[in-house]
Amino acid sequence: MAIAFDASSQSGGGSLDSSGTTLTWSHTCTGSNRVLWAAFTYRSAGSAIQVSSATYNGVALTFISRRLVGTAGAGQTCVEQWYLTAPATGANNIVLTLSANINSEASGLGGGYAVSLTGVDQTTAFDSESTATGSGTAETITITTVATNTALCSAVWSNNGSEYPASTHTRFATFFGNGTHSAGYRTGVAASGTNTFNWTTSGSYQYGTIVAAFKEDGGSIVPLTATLSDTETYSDAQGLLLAGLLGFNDTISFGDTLGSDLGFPFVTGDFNDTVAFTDSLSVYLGIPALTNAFSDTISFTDFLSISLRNVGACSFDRLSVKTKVAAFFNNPIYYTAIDLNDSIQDGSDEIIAFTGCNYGTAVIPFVQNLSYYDFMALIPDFIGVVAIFNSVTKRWMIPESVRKLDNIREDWECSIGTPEYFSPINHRYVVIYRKPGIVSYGNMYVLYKASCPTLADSTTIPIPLEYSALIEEYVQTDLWEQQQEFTKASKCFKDYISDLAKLHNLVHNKIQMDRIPGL
Amino acid sequence: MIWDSSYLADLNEAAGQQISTDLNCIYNRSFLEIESGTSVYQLPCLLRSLLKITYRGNKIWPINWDQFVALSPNSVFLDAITNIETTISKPRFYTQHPTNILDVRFYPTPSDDFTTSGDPFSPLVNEEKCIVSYYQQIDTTDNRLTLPTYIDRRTRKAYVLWQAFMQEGRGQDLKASEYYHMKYEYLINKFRQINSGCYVSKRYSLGESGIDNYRLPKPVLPSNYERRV
Repeated sequence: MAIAFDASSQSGGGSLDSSGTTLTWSHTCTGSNRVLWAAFTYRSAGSAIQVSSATYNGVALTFISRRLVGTAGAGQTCVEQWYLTAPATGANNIVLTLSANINSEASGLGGGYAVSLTGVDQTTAFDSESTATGSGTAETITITTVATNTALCSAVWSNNGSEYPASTHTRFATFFGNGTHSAGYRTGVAASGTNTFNWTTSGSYQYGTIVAAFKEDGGSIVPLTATLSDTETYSDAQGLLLAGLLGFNDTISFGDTLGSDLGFPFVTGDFNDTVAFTDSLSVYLGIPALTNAFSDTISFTDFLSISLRNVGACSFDRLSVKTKVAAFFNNPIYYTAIDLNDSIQDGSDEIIAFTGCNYGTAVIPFVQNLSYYDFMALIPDFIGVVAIFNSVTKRWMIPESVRKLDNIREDWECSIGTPEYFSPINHRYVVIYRKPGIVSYGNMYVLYKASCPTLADSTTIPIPLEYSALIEEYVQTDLWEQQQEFTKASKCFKDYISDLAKLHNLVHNKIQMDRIPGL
Repeated sequence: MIWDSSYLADLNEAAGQQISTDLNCIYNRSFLEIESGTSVYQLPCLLRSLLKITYRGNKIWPINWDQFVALSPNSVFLDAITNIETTISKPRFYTQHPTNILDVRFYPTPSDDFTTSGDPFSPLVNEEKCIVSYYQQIDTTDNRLTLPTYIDRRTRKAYVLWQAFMQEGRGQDLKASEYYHMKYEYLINKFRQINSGCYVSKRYSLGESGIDNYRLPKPVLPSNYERRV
């Protein structure tokens, strides 16, 4: 679900308590998968006044970052930002507790702003942040976002002029008070990496600005007890996975022709109508590959548990596994999302470690006089070395046994020269022969078997798609174990190790059938 | 509560020891402090399998006690006082003491004094060091000496539950114990495969030839080839 603007507010209509240290104003949140971003800009008559704590509806906000502009003392300005995942819906107060009394200061020196967004990842809403200060007419702030499809929220102070955001950005607050204070947001930042929030002023002035990025909701399973009433819009999806669990009792409407083979259990051919499900579906609904452009709205009301995900044709993610496992147990609330997530992570860790189906590369510098390299320390996801290339000689290094190196010369470990051989010692250490005796000799390129990354719902699990059942078998075994259903667990475990052996065989022996062993 | 935290913590510690016993996988290297005129040295207490000893960078060759006595009939060592030292020179052989596997005796008796400072993973030619390479027990105080995270927790869990369900009294469930025993053996065997073989598994794909023909022609050089003294 794309991130969308929900509501904005500012402290202009709010109140300041008698002590002058509590700034309060109202903000109304609506929609699903919400995040609340709040900012504070203030140019003090003395040293910078900062926010000590912030709450919304009594729930503490998380501090993101702060930037002080100017030297300590009179006129120093503070710009800072906070956020809260899943803020309560409805009209509630935002309360900023300040570090000092501002009653005694001249009025209108700054204030607070807030914007709420919907469609934000509820597990890890915050993506990245940045702060900047300088002077000029362009008050552009650069931020390096990690996820795709983020939204940016920014506040800026400049000591004069008017501040205008770029055309793709929205300014929702601005006022003048010992400089100019403004806040805005920008949704639909598609690409990860370097992005900007562009403020422009009417003249060249000193400024300080902050920006935070929030991640798009990657999809989530709504607890069985929840009632969801929502609308999802997908554009040009090439692959759409629709997974429903239990009690699916409503209408899905598609207004366009989607293409053939939609993957609903009994629907084939062009799909250009309203489909009504009036009973428990309790199955996995898949639209494996939509080849036509898909630009329409799907509306769901009153179903119990559903997830919508875009998926690639050759991969699967944690959410799809979670959905299928929950459907298998036919009782999603018996196991919490944490149970399922932990188990899927364990299963992925084990399968990838035992089959070696995930690969990585790394550039590791040769170290003067070092024979034994601790690859687990140098490469965090290292499991085992596949090959090493000496980038200096431009030759592959040759794997060799330590016993043979012992026969080459007794003190081979000390031998200085061109690295030509390597020998794995255990799961951590690899020794090379010979070793460079000079500083900055060059690099080795290491091809290695990698462990599984930490999974989120939208993380692609690096296991071949046709072996996704392996993880399901692992999770079923694991969850049955937890309930001490050892007969069921044993049976499932046998299936698991049988399929695990097949994947191991595929990775190690059959991945290149067009090669005759021994030749 | 069937099992208290203390009991489970004990089993967790025992799991580490059992895993180390079942699978030599924790590799380490350390210096021995050498004293001139002393032939017997104690190895690190966590050592479980001695791989190699080098003296001034050169491998010292292992021999058994009978061979050692044949080399030096007057060999005896009871303690630091009650012993007879043999010829003093640069050690060429070592043997493990017949009654204490953590004691090694060098022959000839070292004629040098070596310290333990430096990095045993970066040995230098003719460096005044004696380095021991070995597999050892898991040492949770050092990240290098623990099991990798992709295997550690699940293997420990299987061991702990295997033992816990076997405990006499309330909570005993031999079927559950047998199940976790089976899982423990499975995990250990898989990790053994990773340690012993996964790193060479791709050699076939990298070269045009099979494993027997893969290596380049290369003579085995005499042991003193290019050796600097």
